[in-house]
Amino acid sequence: MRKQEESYQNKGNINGNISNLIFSEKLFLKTQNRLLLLLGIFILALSLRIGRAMELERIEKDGTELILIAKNINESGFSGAFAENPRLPPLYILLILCGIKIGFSPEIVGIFISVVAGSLIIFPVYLIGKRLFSDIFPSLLAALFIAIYPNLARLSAEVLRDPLYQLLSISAICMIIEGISKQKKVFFALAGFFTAFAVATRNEGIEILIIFFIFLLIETLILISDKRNFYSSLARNTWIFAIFAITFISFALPFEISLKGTKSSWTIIDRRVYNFIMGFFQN
Amino acid sequence: MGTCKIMSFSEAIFSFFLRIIDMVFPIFWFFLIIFLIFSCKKEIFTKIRNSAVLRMIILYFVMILIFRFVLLKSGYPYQGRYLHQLTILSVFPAAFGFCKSLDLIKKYIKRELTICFLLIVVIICAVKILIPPDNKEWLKLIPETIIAHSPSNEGKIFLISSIRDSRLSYYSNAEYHPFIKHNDSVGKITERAIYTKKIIDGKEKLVRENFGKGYNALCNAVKNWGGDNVFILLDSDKETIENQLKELGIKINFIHISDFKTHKGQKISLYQGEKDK
Repeated sequence: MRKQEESYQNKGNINGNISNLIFSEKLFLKTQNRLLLLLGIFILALSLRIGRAMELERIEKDGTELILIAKNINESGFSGAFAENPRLPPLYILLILCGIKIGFSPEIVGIFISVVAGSLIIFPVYLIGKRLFSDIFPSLLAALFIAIYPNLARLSAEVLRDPLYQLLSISAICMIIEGISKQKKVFFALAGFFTAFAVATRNEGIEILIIFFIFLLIETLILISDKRNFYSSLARNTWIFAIFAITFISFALPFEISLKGTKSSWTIIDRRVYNFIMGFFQN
Repeated sequence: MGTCKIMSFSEAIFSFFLRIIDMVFPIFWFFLIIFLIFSCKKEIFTKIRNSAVLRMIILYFVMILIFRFVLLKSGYPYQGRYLHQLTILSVFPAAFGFCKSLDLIKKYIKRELTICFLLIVVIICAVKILIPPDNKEWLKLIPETIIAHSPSNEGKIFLISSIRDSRLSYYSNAEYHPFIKHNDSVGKITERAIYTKKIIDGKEKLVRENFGKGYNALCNAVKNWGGDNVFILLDSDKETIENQLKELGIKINFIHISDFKTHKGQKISLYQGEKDK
């Protein structure tokens, strides 16, 4: 790892120069302090979000439905659950329910989940940045930008599913990128795992599966003229997608199955997709 | 629930463009522009050709852009936060743009001063995050007033409301019934009816209550649902409503409690059903 870092710095690229500019020993950094710095960024993200949450007097409109569903499950069980909004995915609601069971107020639990999830986004962003820039400074900077981004931080202090969804979806993308870089299939399995939980938080999570499929298709098709490589690439990419899809289904399907018998109409693939496409072609 | 007006293709593109501008915090646009200026070179294609990671990120960005545009154009009630996936992705080019701007200014300022540049960005963003949200006092006052006036028998409280904000019923522990013209339109009071949210075939739908229209509907609801456990929230002030009632010659069975104003200046009046004698 250390050798890799040295090689990055020896490349003398733009990022390397900037890295030297700010991350000189005189200022504060040696490479082994990187984790400490990342932790500092996480604490900054957490503090800003907690500060914002403390100013809130009323939760967001959409948050009321989530809390009411969690409260109703707590009071009367799962049979009548999700009557307030049957199409809502279950993960965030179940997490609020866990908090209620422990003895916390649902609003506090909802905000806590959002604050923590919103702050944790910096880690997958940092890892993606590392692969993109081949340098530490811009990746730390990307993580810092996430920590201080007003739109994201303000949303991370609300009872909303968005911060958790953002964390899970960007983690899935991060695992895909790690899988591509390190050529290890375990990362694609992890990507499937995160995508399943992203779908259980917001229906848009299924986009990751579609995008990954398109990506693998493109990666295979660009080799079509080179027949020998094409077939090996086809076999490898099919295997990668199978690992991703199997993990995804193994973790997403239990949510759908366990909601049968309740009033929930949530499915892994959103039934409204057809309406969206029809609406798109209407004038 | 419900849908918005379906836009034409050009309207949708324009609206989407505005949302994308809004998606990025202004200070980051500066870094993104610097990124665009310095990345528009031939080498970028070589980089894309050689890096599967870059291809994946670009594909993810483009596909999310397409999916969100389809969603906006389809007439689904759209919120700015649906674009936050792109906001997250935008930090990578912004970080590059920031590095490039440091590279440009390093000739003119001291090395240590560059850290101030970063601090300024952090402070601007932190201030923006910590500025208190809009003072929505009315969202606090209305539920408090409803709770204070609720009968003490612990029966069901009904809130018939022209203001479509679920927080009002949530904080007043009341059952919410929209008083609207139809699904997405409020219309004149005399054209409105009372609806109840029901689940039909796994979908939530607003079902119209058989109470008639306008003030008669409100009177019938008060009569049928109990009396003083029924609260009515109308999007006009007391004076306007009283004038309208005089004109129509209608005698109502609910009394005025208080007037409120939203943070956007809209006048609201709260009524309570008269106790069943």
